[in-house]
Amino acid sequence: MDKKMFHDSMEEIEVPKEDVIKAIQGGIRQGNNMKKSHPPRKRAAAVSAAAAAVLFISSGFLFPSVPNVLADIPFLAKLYEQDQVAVNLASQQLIAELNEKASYDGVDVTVTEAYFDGAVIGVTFDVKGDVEGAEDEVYAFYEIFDRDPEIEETMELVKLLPTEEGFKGHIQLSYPKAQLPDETRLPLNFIGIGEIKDHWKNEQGKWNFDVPIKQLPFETVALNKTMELDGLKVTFEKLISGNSSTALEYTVKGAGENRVDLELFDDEGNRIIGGTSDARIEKKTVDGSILEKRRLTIPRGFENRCLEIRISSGEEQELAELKW
Amino acid sequence: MKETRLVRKAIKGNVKAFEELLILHNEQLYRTAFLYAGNREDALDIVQETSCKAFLAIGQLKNEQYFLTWLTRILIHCAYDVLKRRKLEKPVEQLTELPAAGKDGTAEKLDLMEAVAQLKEQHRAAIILFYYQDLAISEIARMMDIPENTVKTYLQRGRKELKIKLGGGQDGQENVS
Repeated sequence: MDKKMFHDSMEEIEVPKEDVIKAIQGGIRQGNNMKKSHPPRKRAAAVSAAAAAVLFISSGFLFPSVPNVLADIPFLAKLYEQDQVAVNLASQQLIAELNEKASYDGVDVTVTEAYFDGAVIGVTFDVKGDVEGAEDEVYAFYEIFDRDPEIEETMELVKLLPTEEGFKGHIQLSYPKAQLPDETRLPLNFIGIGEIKDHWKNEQGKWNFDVPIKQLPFETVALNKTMELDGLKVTFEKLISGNSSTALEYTVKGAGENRVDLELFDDEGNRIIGGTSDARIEKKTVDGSILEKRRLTIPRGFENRCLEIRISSGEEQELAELKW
Repeated sequence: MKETRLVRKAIKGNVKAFEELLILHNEQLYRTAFLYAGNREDALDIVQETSCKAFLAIGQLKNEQYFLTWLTRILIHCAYDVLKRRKLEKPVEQLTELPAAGKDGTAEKLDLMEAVAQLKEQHRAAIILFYYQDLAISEIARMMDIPENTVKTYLQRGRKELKIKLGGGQDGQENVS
C-alpha cells in the first residue's frame, strides 16, 4: 500500500461541502458562545499584574526612566502571555534570578529566571549571537529530562521575542514526575534555536542546562475522594496548593481503552478554560487492572478553597465537589 | 503563505480568519472524521465538535506551522469521544454508508477505506496519520504520546490487518522506518 493509493481512496469519500461548512460554522458559534458566557476576565488583570511585575523588576535593578518602563510593559506581558503563574509570582518577587550560560556555534543561551510553584515550573532565558531567521520567526526547540520515555511530553517549541540585545524566551511546564522534590535540578536542553528545522527533532541538545529549582512553600491537602463510572474508579488523592497554582493528583483504575475527561469549574460555576495540563505521572498494574496516576495542574489558586469537577467517561458523567 | 497569515490572525483571536482556515481544510477534516465514524452524520458531529474545541484552544497554539497537526490531534480526540457515545448504538462493523463501488478499480479503493475504518483505534490512527496526513513517524509518536517504535509496530500491524481484510496482495515492500 502506498500513500498515493491511500490518498486516491480518500478522494472517493464524497464530501457534503455545504453541510461540512455549516458544521464548522456551528462549532465556531458554539465555541464563541462559550467564550462569551465565561469571558476571559483574567485578561485585563494579567496585563496590569504584568505591569506591576515589570515595575518591580525594572525599578529594582535598573532604575530606568519612566518611558523605558512603559516600553517594557507590553514586552513582559507578551513574554508571560501564557503563564499567569509567572505574572503573579513576579509581582510578589518570588521568581529566582539565575545566570547559567551555555554556548554553541556562536549562539549563547543564558537561563536568567526560574520558579517552581506547586507542580508548575517556569524558566526564562536569553539568546544572543548569530541566530538564523527573520526576527519574528525565531523559535527554540527544547527537551526536558533527556527525553525520558516514561514522561508523556518531553519536547516542545517556544517562540522567542526579539529584544535589543537578542531574544528572550519563557517556558512553562508541569513537573512530570510523581515525587515533587523541594529542591532539584531540571535537565533542560535546547536542541535548536532559530528558524524551525525539521531535523531538530532527531538531534541532541546543544545548549544543555541543569536548572536549579527550589519549590516555593505549598500546602498539601489529602482528598481521598473516589468516584466510580463507566467501569472505572477515579480517586482524587491530594491537592497541592501553591502560591499561584494548584495541582490535583488523581488515579484512574481500570484505565486502558477508556479515557476520563475532567472539566473544572470554580465556586461560581464558571468553567476553567485554558492553561491547565493533565499528564500521567505513573502507571502500574494493580490486581490485574491498569492504575494510572495523573497530575492536573491549574495556573491559579482558589481563594475559596473549593473546586467542582465534572468527570466524563463514555456516556457517563459524575460531579465531584472538592473542598479543602 | 496565505495560510500562515490566517493562522497568525486566528491565534490572535480573529474569528473570520479561523473560520476561513477550517473551511480551507474542510475536505481533509471531513474525510478523516468519516474514516473514524463511518457515516455522514457522526462525521459531521466530529467536525462540529472539533471546530468548537479548536476555536476555544487556538490561542494556545504555539507554532503556526503545526496548525494542521494540532487540528488533527483535536479531531482524533473528538472522534474517539463521538464514537464512544455511539458505540452501543452503532458498531463500526455495521458501516453502511461507505461510498458504493464504481468502475475502474474503484471497488478496490473503497474496500481499502472500509478496511481502514474497521481497524483497531490505535492502528487506524497511525495508518491515517502516516498515509493520509503524511506525518513523519516522529511526529506521529509525539501526537499519539507513544514511542516511535510503537508507531512502527502499529503501522506494521495495521498494514497486516488490512492485508488480511483485503485478501492479501495490498501490502507492498514499503519501509516505514
